[in-house]
Amino acid sequence: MGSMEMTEFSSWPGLVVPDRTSDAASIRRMTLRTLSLEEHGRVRGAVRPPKVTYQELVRLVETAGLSGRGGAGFPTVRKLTSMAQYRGKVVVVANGSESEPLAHKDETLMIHQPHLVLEGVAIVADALQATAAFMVAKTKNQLVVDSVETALKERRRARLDRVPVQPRIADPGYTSGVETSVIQQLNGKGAKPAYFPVRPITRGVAKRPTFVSNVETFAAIALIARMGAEAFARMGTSEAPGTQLLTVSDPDGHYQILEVRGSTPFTEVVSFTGIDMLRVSTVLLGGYFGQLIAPGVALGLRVAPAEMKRQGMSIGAGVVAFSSACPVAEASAICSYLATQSAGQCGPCFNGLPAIAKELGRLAQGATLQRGVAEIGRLGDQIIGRGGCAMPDGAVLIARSLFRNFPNEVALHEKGQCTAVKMRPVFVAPEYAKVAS
Amino acid sequence: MSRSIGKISINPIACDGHGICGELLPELIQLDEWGYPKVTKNDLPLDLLEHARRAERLCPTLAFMVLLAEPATQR
Repeated sequence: MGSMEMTEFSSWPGLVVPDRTSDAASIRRMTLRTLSLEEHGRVRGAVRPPKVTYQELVRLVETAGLSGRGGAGFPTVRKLTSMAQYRGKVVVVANGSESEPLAHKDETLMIHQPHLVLEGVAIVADALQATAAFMVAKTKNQLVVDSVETALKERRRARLDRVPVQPRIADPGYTSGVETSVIQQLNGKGAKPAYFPVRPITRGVAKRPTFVSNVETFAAIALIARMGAEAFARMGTSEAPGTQLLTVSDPDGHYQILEVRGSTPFTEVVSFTGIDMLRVSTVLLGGYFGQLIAPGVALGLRVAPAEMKRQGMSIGAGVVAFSSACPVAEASAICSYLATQSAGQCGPCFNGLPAIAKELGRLAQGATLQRGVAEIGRLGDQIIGRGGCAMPDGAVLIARSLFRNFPNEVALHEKGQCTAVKMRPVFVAPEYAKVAS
Repeated sequence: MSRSIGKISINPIACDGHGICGELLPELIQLDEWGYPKVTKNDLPLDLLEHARRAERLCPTLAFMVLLAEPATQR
């Protein structure tokens, strides 16, 4: 008993190896326990993954219906096939920089199962005959660095990877996690977003065609190669194949990392995590690129990105955060934070975000708006889609969701009133939250 | 307006908001309240090609680009 139990899958073999207390029919909790190479081999059946050709990989990923887990949800098969003509000179990058402050699933995955991620990188690198491979880890987390370094040592000793994976630590800052920022960093420049008018990126790292994907996506690729595309897809539904990692945080700011099967209802996520919905006034879906929604709306959702998209929502990189605070205060805090994170490169961003943040700050404090609510909407139209990266879009989407989903609260604030029991926002670290309390 | 022969593209990172493109191509570009160009129409019609080429040449930060659908020599 004890630790041996962690190496058994109860019913569904997912990304996360469950422990006794956290396994349910469609959800399990990820722990910080690192699986060694030997344990990884025991859990997955063999230390060495099956050999996969480029054509096989394309078919597997397509059949599995895999989409990127970094937030944008781009179909992985399209990213793979866009590299077809560049095989033999591609650089592969596993992006675990996870700069979204409310997201923790990538760092936790890299601590818990570094071998599954590294194996996914090896599979893609072999299929694309890559010349180099990188893995970028989240900044300020020594546990991730240790876990990856140990895993790489084990893999070198077992001579597992043809292309050695070079570990790097992401530069700090919200925009440093952007794909083009990561490429800049790997090229020895500052981790700022860069402009590539043509996709795929054919002159990325070392001026080579570059395949960048999120670390969870690579782990899923390894899982698909081992268990088969159909079995992977069947863990979820046709609408949401496979599983997805979520960072779920409660009104006190404590978070849990969950692996959930596709189309799992939010009501199950809530009961699994034990969040008291009576305390919740605001739900943030998808992190700072997502939207604020009412608790009742959240309870009607399922973890199915395609379905959410039809409902005009997005779960981004799997962030679901619950708050007891006023939605206006939360929106204001997020936009203020984003305004501080501009890389200072694009006019619509370094002009537009402080303007939005200032207005929302006034609204949060019940002060008279300089522009009025409709004007803030027009301000958003001026900004959205016009940055070199998508960060300015995040602030606009948060502001829009506040006006769309909390019209009564906004109207009260215009009169200097607020119904929230709690003012201090939890979605952003206190130093960025400018709320009069 | 005549048929589209390509697209215009502005690198938002390079752009410093000099606004020359907005002056030359008001049909396709609006300047925002801070003077930065917002592309309102992406497709470049033939009769605006000359103005677009001028904007490309005059852009002080080389942010403005004309992307022809086919190389110009072939038409």
